[in-house]
Amino acid sequence: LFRKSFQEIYQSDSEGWETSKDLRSNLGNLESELLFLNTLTGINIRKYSKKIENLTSTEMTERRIKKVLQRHKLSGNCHMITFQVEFQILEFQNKENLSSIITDLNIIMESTAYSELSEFVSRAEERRDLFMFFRSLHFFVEWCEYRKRTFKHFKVVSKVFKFKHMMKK
Amino acid sequence: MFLYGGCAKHAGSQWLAFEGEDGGNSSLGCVSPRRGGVLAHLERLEAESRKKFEEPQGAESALGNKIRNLRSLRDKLRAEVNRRQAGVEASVEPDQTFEVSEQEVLEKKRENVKSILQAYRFTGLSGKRTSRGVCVSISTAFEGNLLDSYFVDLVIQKPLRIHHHSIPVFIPLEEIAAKYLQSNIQHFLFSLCEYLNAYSGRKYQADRLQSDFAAFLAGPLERNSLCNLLSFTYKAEPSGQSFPFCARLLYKDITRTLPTDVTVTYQGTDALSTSWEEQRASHENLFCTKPLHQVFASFARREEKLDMNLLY
Repeated sequence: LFRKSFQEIYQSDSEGWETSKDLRSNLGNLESELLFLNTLTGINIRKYSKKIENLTSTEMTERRIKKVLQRHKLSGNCHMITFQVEFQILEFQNKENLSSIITDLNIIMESTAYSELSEFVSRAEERRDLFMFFRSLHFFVEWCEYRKRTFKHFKVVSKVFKFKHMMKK
Repeated sequence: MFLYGGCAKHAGSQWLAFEGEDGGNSSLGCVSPRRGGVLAHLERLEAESRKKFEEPQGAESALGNKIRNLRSLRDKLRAEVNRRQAGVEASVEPDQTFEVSEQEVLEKKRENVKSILQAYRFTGLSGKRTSRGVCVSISTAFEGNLLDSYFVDLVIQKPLRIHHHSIPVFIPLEEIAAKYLQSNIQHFLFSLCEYLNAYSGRKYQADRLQSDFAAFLAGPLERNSLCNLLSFTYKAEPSGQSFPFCARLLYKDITRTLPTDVTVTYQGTDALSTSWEEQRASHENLFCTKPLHQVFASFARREEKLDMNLLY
């Protein structure tokens, strides 16, 4: 297999030679897009990497079946809470359809004083519900912030709060 | 410490072994009637031990010296290692300059940002800037199964407007937009997420029932496009003599993937026996608490067990 060099790939993508200036403005656009997504989701992803493992045997290829295992690692924060998420997606494709299934989900959070957080984190891991984890994390943090502001307003200091009513089954 | 060493084995003797203070075995006695009795032997052993008493001191001091020598050697070697290590560190220039073009650095950064942008789809919500505003992509999943994605193309204007979208017509998009779009985009999108994920999940369950458990269905699965009203006739034991039950599942709350109202009825003229009545009631409960395809999976497992029992 002929492998293109790193630079060649970029240059062919951007249809010819890219000047440093173009590159910089393109990067600027992408970074503002990142900032936008950060604001939209409430989640700041700082690092991401993925590994792809092709599990298709020759027998499978003959039967037009494809099996691929993706390993993803991402880390970032949602306001003051940092997280590290590692998960595996098994992609299975046959003549009829393509299925993608999260086969493993590991969520590492810094130990915080928020016990409700660890509760829904283990529930998300159990159900391999990646989206639910991020949504809940966002809502939880928002709620914390709201509470802080409200209490600040009334000059009340509180350490215990109930989050359970926020969680939908 | 007293060490009794070098105990000779005498042929034809019997040894009495004891555990000495040092935890090791020190043979105390050798019963040998030929050597003048036990007492004589004990005296001989005592004499020998007294001799050995002098030696251990010597051996001890010899060992002690050895230890001291080894220790000093170790210290010398340690010092040498430290010295050399310091020398190596000093020789490495702190500001090593190597040739990397600015281009490469920027390209690497761009590659990095692009991949993180891709990764946002794993949060369930992602998007791209457009000339008009932004195109938001909503991903759905059910129990770890990644399902369809939908998009909403928003025009950033006053008022905020939906340019076009791929949301199915039976999802109350206008209702949700009327409530939240102008005041809080985030709330609008999260609400849409909820509805779409629930719909996707219900659809997934119905599809799985039709594809994986067709053998259990005694007729077609009736479903509406929103997948919140399902009706079907089934047999919990397709091979057995079980009665067909009719199930009707209504999901009044369309932000949920489990039904709110379930009725399982028996299509027959005779009254159900108590055991069948119990089954019917338990099925109603199962459909309320477990995803549809998993209920049938449990039926299938029971079938397997029954088959196994028949074999023996």
